[in-house]
Amino acid sequence: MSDDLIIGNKRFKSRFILGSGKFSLEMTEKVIRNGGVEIATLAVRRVNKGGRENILDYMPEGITLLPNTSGARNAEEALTIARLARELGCGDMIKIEIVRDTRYLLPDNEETIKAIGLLADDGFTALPYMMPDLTAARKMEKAGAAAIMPLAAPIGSNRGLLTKDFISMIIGETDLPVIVDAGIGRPSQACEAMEMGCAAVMANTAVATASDVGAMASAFRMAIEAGRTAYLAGLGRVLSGRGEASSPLTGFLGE
Amino acid sequence: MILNGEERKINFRISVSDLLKQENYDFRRTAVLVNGTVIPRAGYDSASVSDEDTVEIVGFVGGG
Repeated sequence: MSDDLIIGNKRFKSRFILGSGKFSLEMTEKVIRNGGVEIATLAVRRVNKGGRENILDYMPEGITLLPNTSGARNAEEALTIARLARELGCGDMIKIEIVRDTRYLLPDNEETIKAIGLLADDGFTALPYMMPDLTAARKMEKAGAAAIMPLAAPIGSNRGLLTKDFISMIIGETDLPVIVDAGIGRPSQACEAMEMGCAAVMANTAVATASDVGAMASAFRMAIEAGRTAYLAGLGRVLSGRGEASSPLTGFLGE
Repeated sequence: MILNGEERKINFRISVSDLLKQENYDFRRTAVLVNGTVIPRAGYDSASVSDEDTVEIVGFVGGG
């Protein structure tokens, strides 16, 4: 049976979304290959003139690009960045990222909800990065989001699933794929997110700051696959206050 | 003109296409914003800029 990740009208086999920041360009292809990655995020920035190296030259063929709107402080700026990304030839999937807070880099849910409407009207498939709040997630779903991307912890912090319970609420109460974005620091945390029922995990810093980035990309791929398989298998129940033997309590030798 | 945040002096109105060529940008890898409006690639020849304009030339970089 196929178990594809469906975002908008696209299907993916991989549930590991890679952020492409902080890597040397030469490592990009290896990380994508080792991670079995099919979707990679990018940012839009001013470029210097001349024939400088471009990250697109290092992206393997067939990869789906997911530009973000980082740098946007409100919905209108997010729309402008999304339109620039579209001119750069990335397709219509956009990760909406609207951040005004400069210390914790937390997303502005209110502006993000507004941006989803603007982008959806302009033909984009919008994936909002958000502060895990069920009310906001419901509004994002209604506004036309194609997935919900709640943060686990502040961007780049590697602190893990600090918002676990709140992400669980969104998984339980919305019909959209929930993709944990930001803060995942270890493969075990990515695995746990997948066991909870997240549709995918996005990571960047956790891989980019590892001593061996290629090996860490492989570790994330395996952890995400393990977590997904466990979720589909249905986790075993938890007992409290007592134990339960795994073998029959009869037929002991010498009885 | 303000080009990517830096002041420039240009004496004549020129097309976006010519500006990109003059500044040695790779057309395939760049997108252009003039006074806050995105210029579609198909409009690079017809859209023009003057000394009064604010121009941003952007491309993809690594990001999460």
